[in-house]
Amino acid sequence: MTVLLEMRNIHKTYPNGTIANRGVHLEVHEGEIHALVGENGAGKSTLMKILFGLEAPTSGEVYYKGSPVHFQGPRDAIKHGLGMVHQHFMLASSLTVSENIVLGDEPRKGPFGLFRDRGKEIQDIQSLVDRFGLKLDPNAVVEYISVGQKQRVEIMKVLYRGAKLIILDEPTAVLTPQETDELFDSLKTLVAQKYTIIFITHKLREVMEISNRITVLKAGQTIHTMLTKDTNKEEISRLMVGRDVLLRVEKKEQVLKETVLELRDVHANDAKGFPMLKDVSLAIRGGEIFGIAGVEGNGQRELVEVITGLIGATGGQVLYFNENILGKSIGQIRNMKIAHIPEDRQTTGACLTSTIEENLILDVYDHPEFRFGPFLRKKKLKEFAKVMMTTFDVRAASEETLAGSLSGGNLQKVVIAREIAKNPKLIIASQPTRGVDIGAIESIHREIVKRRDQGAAVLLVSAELSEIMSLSDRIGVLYNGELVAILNNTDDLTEQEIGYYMLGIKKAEKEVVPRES
Amino acid sequence: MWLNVWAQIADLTIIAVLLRCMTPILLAAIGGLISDITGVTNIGLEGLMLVSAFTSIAVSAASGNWMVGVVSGVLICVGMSYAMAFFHIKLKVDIVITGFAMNIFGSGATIFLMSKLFQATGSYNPSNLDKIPVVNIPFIENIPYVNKLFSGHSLMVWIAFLAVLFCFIMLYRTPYGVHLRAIGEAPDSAKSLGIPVGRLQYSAMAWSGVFVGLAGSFMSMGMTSMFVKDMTAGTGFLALAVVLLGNRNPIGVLIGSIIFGLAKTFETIFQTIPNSPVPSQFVQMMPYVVTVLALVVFAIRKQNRQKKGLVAPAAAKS
Repeated sequence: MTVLLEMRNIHKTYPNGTIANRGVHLEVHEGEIHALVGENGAGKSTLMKILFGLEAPTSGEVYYKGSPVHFQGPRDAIKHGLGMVHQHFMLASSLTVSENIVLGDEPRKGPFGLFRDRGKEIQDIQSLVDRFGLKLDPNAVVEYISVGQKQRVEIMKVLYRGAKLIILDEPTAVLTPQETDELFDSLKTLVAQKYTIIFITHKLREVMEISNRITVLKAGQTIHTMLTKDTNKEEISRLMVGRDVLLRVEKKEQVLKETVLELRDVHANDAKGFPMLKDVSLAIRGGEIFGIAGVEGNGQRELVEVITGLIGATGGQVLYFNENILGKSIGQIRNMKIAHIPEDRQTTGACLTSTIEENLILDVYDHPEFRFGPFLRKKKLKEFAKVMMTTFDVRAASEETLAGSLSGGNLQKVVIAREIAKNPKLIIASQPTRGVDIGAIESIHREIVKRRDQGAAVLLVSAELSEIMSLSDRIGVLYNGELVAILNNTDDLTEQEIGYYMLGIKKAEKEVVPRES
Repeated sequence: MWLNVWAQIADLTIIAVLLRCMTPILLAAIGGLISDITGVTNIGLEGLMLVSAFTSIAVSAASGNWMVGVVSGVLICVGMSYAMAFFHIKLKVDIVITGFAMNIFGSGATIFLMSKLFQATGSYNPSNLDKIPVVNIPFIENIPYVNKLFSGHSLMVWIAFLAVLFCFIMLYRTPYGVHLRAIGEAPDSAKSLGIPVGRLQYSAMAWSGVFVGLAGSFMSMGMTSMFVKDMTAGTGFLALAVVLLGNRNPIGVLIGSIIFGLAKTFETIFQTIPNSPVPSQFVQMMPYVVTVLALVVFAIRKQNRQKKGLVAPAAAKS
């Protein structure tokens, strides 16, 4: 058993201060399937970027076959026998399977190697197909093959270039169970032939099924590396989500009011038509923060977008004070005192090329008090913006500063100021503190809790379990588009408990009764 | 009148006219195709054709050699497309703006030079111009009907057909061509495999210049023997439509060119019939009506295919 790849004490701090890796160790043995698990934001992708030379580590070393290496990029890495299969395919869809596989390294013939040697191309690919059992038709056009086959093309691309260490980034996210089984068979064939595989995932069932060893990352650190046969799902999930510190936020005694938002059997698809929400029912009352926990990509985004009118539902009802708001325009919904803090402040939340003032007035500029016939009352709007900036502690040179030049925390405060200033009855907050500094997190949390104390209903979606647990009154867990549990956030509720639901290990046996709290 | 039209169809005159009408569209479309496939849509075909048409007739008249004329027309087009590529790729100017600048330049510069060099305002007719030669094939030229098919066409007609073959072989049978097709569709993927995207786009624009240059020189020295201001009259845009309609492949482009060529052919035939009952304005509309219809058909087909594409993966997933 030889060590093929070793990454020692990797640290990575991005220029904007985000720390992605703080001491990662990874040791991969030749001929094994090594699972790299961790939540979103645990530092898995940064680690791989560092390995492939796409990012430079702040400190730490990479050893490959015993000697220190520093790859200059994917091309360089592949020359040394490392290949990566990305979650999002990088294929030219009008080209054939074989054209995609050999792209950039075509077998040539004729004078000056001017022509493609298509015979050899097909032959080479066929021999790879025979060797690894990856069934593919080399002449099929990529556009018309299935997702599973596209993934095989990606794997073949890497194999064709002679990679011996193959990294698969969440390869099963797009596959059907049958395709997953086929993939696993091919991976086993590969490993039997001395190939080494790093398998990045957060699906524990697959980790247990396919891997030899497991490295768990959490918050940019290696928590543990262990043999798969010595562990179990519960232990891994505890290592993945377990946290030490819980930010506590002062909350007043809850005063529940009437039901503000109610979802009844809501179904929705994502942009590609895949069902992302299935039968979601919940009710939120005034004076309550309802947290949505879940591993990202389990329907949180669709849930928020259905309620705010950004996408349509394929079934069910969304009731706001007992009125169905499905099918209403985004503008109509916004005017019903529903605030939306979108998960991506840079594209959805704010206009980066406009000033702070312009971003702040987006919701009010057409109100009568800011208008003089068809014209804007610039002075009044400026005053309004200034007041908002002081109230919400937006730190910038002036209201004329471009939103794009603000730090994450300050930009988020602008978004929150705009949304909350209209005294909403319902606040939909999606990842409200993602990528902002501690100080801003505190003030954003205080603002959300203040609104709850004043009687607003809050739907809080966050990838940070600690945030959900410190703010919410009740917690719903989304797994695979289903609301698998609704839990009261009592003191004896642990992160592990929620983690079991998030990873699909546990499912509430009893029928979830959404209207009780 | 219908009899007159039928007579021209029956004695295959229509084929001769068709070949003449479709050649500039086909050549320009091949040029448009090669750059379009790499993700750089050359809107400037129209302007490039004008520049080439003017240059080649002027040089040919001055030198007395058609070949020198054609070559100089092509070279200047290659240079101009290369400049467009420089603006678009290096200086990041939007390709649509670059293309329109080229069109405006092409129209303006040729009119300006025509008046400065030849003191001509509307058109320039050099006397004893050495035109692109007509290929008469011995024996065949004496066989009735067959001669209309194969003999008596301009050399450029044959070059146009060769261009289709050349383009096909280049795009599908050489690694270079596969790279060209890959960079238009998945530039990031190509880049990660070490394919120099920018450099290939430059080369594609240069090829574009070659074929558009040929198209331009045929307009002034094959179809006609003069340069008329703005004589391309939308041929470059027709060619762009052909590229899309032909589904971005050389065979499709050939078929598209035949369709548009036919529209132009009927326009020509109807116009030459004495006392035609159809107003000439309607006849002149035909190529453009065909363009609109063809693009509508194309859009509907594409939409249907996309719908199918959406259904397929979802079905695979469930």
